[in-house]
Amino acid sequence: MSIDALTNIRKINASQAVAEGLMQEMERDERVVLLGEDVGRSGGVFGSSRNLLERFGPMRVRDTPISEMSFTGMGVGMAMAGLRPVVEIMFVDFIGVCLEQIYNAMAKIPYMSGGRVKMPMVIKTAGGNIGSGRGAPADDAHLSRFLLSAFPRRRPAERRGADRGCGAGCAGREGPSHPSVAGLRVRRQRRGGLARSEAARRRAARARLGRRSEAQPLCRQYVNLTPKPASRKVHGRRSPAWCTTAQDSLAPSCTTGQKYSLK
Amino acid sequence: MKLNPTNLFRTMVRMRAFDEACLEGVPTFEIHGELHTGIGQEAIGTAMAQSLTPGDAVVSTHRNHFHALAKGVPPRALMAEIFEKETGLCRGRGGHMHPFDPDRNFSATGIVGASLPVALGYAYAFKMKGQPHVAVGICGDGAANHGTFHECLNMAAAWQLPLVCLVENNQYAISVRFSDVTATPTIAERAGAYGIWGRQVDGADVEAVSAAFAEAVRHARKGGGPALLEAACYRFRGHYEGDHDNYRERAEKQRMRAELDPVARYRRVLIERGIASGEELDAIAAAAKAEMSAMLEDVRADAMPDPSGAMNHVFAEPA
Repeated sequence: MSIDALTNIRKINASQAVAEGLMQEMERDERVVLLGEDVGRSGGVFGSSRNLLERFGPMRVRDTPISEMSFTGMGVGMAMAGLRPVVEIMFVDFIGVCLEQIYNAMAKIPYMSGGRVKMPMVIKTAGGNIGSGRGAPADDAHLSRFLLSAFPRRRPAERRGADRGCGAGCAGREGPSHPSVAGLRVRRQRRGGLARSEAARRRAARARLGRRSEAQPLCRQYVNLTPKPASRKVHGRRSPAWCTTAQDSLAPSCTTGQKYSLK
Repeated sequence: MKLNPTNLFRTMVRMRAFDEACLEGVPTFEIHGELHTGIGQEAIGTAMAQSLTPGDAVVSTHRNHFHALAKGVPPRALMAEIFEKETGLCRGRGGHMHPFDPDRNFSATGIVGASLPVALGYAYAFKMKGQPHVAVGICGDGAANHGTFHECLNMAAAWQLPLVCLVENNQYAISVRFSDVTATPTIAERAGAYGIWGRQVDGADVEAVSAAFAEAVRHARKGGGPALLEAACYRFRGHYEGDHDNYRERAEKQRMRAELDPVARYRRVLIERGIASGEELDAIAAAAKAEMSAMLEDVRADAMPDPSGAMNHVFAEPA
């Protein structure tokens, strides 16, 4: 990896990475629907669904009333009807309001149906030190990863940096039967590099690919935002899949200072 | 709509015979946990069966057997599920409160108030895909006082979704009397608050409830937005099998069972109209009983789930 490629990293917010991950998923799969409070017209309270309403329209990006339990259950019904809902709970602190549907329906139906019902559904939420450095009250700043980890069948996927944030948007793709809770841990909305050192990216990718083959889409999502590598050969070996996909379509627009666009 | 009176009667007695067969599994401990039967509420399930298409969705409650049968769930697989057999609808994992049949868009929940949100999701998906289906979310009078009732009817009305909210008002939320905890005399009158179609019907009159349900479904299917149908009925047995049921007076129970028995009532109607004789109807009832008794014996011979599969479907598995 040349020094040029390393400096060509596009710096974006974690929330922007989530929005771009969602956009790519929604482009790729028309069954993906985003619903929740303030996801549409405002683009998400952290901007993590920015530009999606304009692009996909109100049926696929649905601003809901403040009815968490019902729209979370709605996501369960949508998943059972063949859609791929992404339900946004604005702050993870609010998850108690809709835990009934997460705990009893989303998590348990695949078991209770003897495996007949799949639950391709993502809860997208944010927690931890929310408030752009100003601090937030105790009921707006919790970290509930450990609470959520105790539920059957759900895979909490906490994303801290921008690269992982992008992948959170498509966590539900990892398998058709795996409901996921994808949390974005917000820390002062700090701008972070999408790719850190080449070695770190490779380690991360290897770790994820090794853990489960389905994780590949996750990796592809985030490396789509990395610059075009100088060479497909890294240290004399063919670079991993996530690296070569960056060669395609998006690479030229991903350099520092350039506006990122799917087109 | 054209109804076949004899078939309505037959459907009702088959439903009742189904639940009576299930009762036999309680004292023998073949059925663990609670069993909630719908005996006394057959007219509503029968009405549903007249109007639903295979593509429609039904999300039911803890008292779900008749709704499942109305949706076309195979009775044999349903009974096997209730008896926790490997041959059951969900391989014995769901039990009687959680029959799921994704092929027929049927599901249920044991949590009061949790059915309408899921039905709302089906309705949203149908609208998004432009499909001519309706989603029926069933709840009781107890769930009508749950927050989801308001939330779901509000969203369904705001977005004009094809949701039929069917309330089986059997007048008791376990022991709590409907009139003691509800601000209005009926649930149907809340429809006005959401600007939606709403109606109350005698849930023990199978023809009346069939016509009303058909109208509600037609309204939602034609793009008229959600419909709220309240069917007044009475729970003949305790909330669950084994319920001491000392919160309802004996006299009340006897009177209501006599007045609101949909099967006995329709039997009288058919005889009065000269459609069938008492003997013919009794023969239909006896045939239903024999059918379900034979099914029960058949189910009893099925295997229980293999204990080695106890952890199946508990954790996320590779696709």
